[in-house]
Amino acid sequence: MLEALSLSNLAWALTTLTELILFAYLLRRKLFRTHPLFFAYILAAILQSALAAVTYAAWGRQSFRVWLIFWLSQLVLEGMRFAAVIEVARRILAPFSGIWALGRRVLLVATGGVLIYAAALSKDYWYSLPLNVDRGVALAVATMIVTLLLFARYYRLPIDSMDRSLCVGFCLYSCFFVINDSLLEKWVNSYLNFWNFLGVLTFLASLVIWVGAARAYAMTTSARETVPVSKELYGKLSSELNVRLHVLNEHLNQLLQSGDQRR
Amino acid sequence: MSITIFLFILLAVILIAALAWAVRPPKHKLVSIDEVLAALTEEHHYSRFSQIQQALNPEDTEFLRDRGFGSLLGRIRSERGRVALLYLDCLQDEYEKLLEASRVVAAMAPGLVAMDEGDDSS
Repeated sequence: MLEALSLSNLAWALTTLTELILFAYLLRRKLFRTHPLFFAYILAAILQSALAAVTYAAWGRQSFRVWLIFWLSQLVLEGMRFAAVIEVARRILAPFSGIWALGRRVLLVATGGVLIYAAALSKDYWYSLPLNVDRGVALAVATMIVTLLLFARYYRLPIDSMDRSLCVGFCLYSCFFVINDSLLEKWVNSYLNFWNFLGVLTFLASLVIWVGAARAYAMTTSARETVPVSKELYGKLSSELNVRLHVLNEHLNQLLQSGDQRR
Repeated sequence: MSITIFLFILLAVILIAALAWAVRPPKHKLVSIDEVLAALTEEHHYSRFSQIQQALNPEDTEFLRDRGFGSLLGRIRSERGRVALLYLDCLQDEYEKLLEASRVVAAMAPGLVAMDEGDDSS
């Protein structure tokens, strides 16, 4: 257990260092202008690490006060993570107003559905509440990102490498968090230190992905290739497409019916 | 392991798999308005529908049997069946092109446009 604890401390220190490197890159590349909520999230993560270090030193790891402070700060961080993911969704979909209008509703329904699902399946003991909230939010974040990426893929929307890396990092971290939280719920006592270690490790992996993307980020690399057309042209094109698809469908139906008659 | 934990872990694994699939670059890409217009102005395969339907009609070749060309009848019918399958492939291509074009047009939408159903079919 001691080994796991020292390994966890090492991973924790490494994570804080990586957070600081990422923070420096975000400042240097001026990414706080394009991704202000992600910037705020990383800043909050650094502050949480500092807060945890101070409270552990003051009251020790086993204190209820430390437990409460950690989970409250975690709640704030969860909220900021959610906001950062919404920011990415907005950056990817909002330039395409028609798709954004549909996309935000789909994302809202998918995310809300998963939150309800997580709440319905969670245990209702008071001490499980932070864990359940943590898991529910992680699952909702992962669902939102996957829905967003599937949406973007279906409509062939361009995604720049920074946003893609943010999506991959957030989604992997959230999914591993769900697995981790679920295992912790089952083996709550014997697994605690290992859970801390895995949690830190998965966050570290996401940070490494984001550092790579922030390092390679260039302000000039805009992935927005498609330009909006006028309302008249849009109406004409969409009507023409609808008519063509409708006629095609009718011909296939006729073909099917003539085949049935022959049989 | 309880069913609840299993469901959570399963969902997380499915999401990881979906993420891996979703981040792959798409195979085909139609990006410009010109390509959409080209897809719309290309020759329609479905305009050959009546000829294909005619060719698949058994009555169209029945006279061969009456005149004692049974083997020729079989050969012609199998040839026509093959042509009909090729025609279906062309229809599928056409459908995929139109679907791709509709995605591009959706991405170019200037904003939400309220339309009546009647406007659509004109």
